[in-house]
Amino acid sequence: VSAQLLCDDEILRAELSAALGDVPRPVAVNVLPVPVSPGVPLVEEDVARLRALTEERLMRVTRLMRAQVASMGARRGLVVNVLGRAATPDALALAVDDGIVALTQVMKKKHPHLDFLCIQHGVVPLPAGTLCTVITQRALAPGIPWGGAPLVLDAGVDRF
Amino acid sequence: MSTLDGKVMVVTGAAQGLGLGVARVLAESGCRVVMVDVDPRVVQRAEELGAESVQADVSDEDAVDDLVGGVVARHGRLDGAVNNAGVIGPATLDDEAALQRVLNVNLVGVFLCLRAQLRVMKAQRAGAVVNVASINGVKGTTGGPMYAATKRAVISLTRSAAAEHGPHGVRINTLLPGNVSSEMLLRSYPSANLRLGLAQLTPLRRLGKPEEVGRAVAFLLGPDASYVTGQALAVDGGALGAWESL
Repeated sequence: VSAQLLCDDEILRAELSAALGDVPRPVAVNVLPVPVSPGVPLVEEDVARLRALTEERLMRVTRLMRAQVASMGARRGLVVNVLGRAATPDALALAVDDGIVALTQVMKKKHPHLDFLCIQHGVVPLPAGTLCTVITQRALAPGIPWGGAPLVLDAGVDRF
Repeated sequence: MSTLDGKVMVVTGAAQGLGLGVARVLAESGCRVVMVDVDPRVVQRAEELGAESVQADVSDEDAVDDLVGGVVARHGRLDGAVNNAGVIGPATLDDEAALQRVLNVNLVGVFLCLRAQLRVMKAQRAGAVVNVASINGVKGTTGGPMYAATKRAVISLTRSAAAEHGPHGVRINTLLPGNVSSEMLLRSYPSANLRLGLAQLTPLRRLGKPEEVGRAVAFLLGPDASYVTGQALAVDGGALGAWESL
């Protein structure tokens, strides 16, 4: 049994660590923080912020998943990406995170023996209890088909 | 006279394949087309179509701003744009430099072009943009994961941009090409048997032609699509629908 938890939120990390202790398969949970939106129109966005978002979110998850998939080998592991979404419109962060969902979808096709899940939440503060319940239940039920759509835990994020 | 006659249009990635097909359809519709590509062949291709050419890298911020500024300086406006430049990514996640190149061209490049175009169109309170993504951005295949990621990101960016710029009279849509006969496809599937297999996976049992994509782009840019924005239109011979039913 092994759980790799990359999570800055201490409460969630503690809850997940305790809950996943009894799960009989490797689990990796990558929790990305809620991005900080500058609240400016798209035409005023700085390309440096897009580059930072791709590096800190998409490329970071890419590297994590690459290592996690390799470390799980032939075992039936689970990789979960938790993507926080800002409550204010943030076209760049939404685009990058939607890209992460697509990337995860392809990883599932390349590694069909592994389970993958993406969770997008727009709730602040982080709903540690809810996330912990969802991830633990998923970890305890290997092989549930995942069609690639993210599990969205919020009341809907408006693009306006 | 075409409904697009005299419209000023920019097409990126226009030296070959889909972009060239799009540029050809727009030029034949009477548009004043500015063909953009980092590939120097764009100059000759533009001459053949009676279009303008600009050799530029879409992932270079200054080059993109100069490109759009130059179009407005020469023509006084920008009616439409097709952000088509893109590269195929590696099949795995191992080559960081290759992944960064996919990100730079397919996502950062589209953002830079879109931002520059929207600044102009927002001010003139009119315009239409088509961002070219891929059906792989909707239903990622076992192909390049970063390619799928960047194409999904473009679909998302388009929706956000359309929501934000609708009130300014600007429409932005995504086009999702399927397996279209192009240099990019030939590089990915060099074997004729592989391409035949690809065609057989498509309900229409053939590969698409660049001009078929071009006609769909012309529709999205033109007045027949005046109430269409924020959408993703698949031009794929039915491939995406067939995948989804699997």
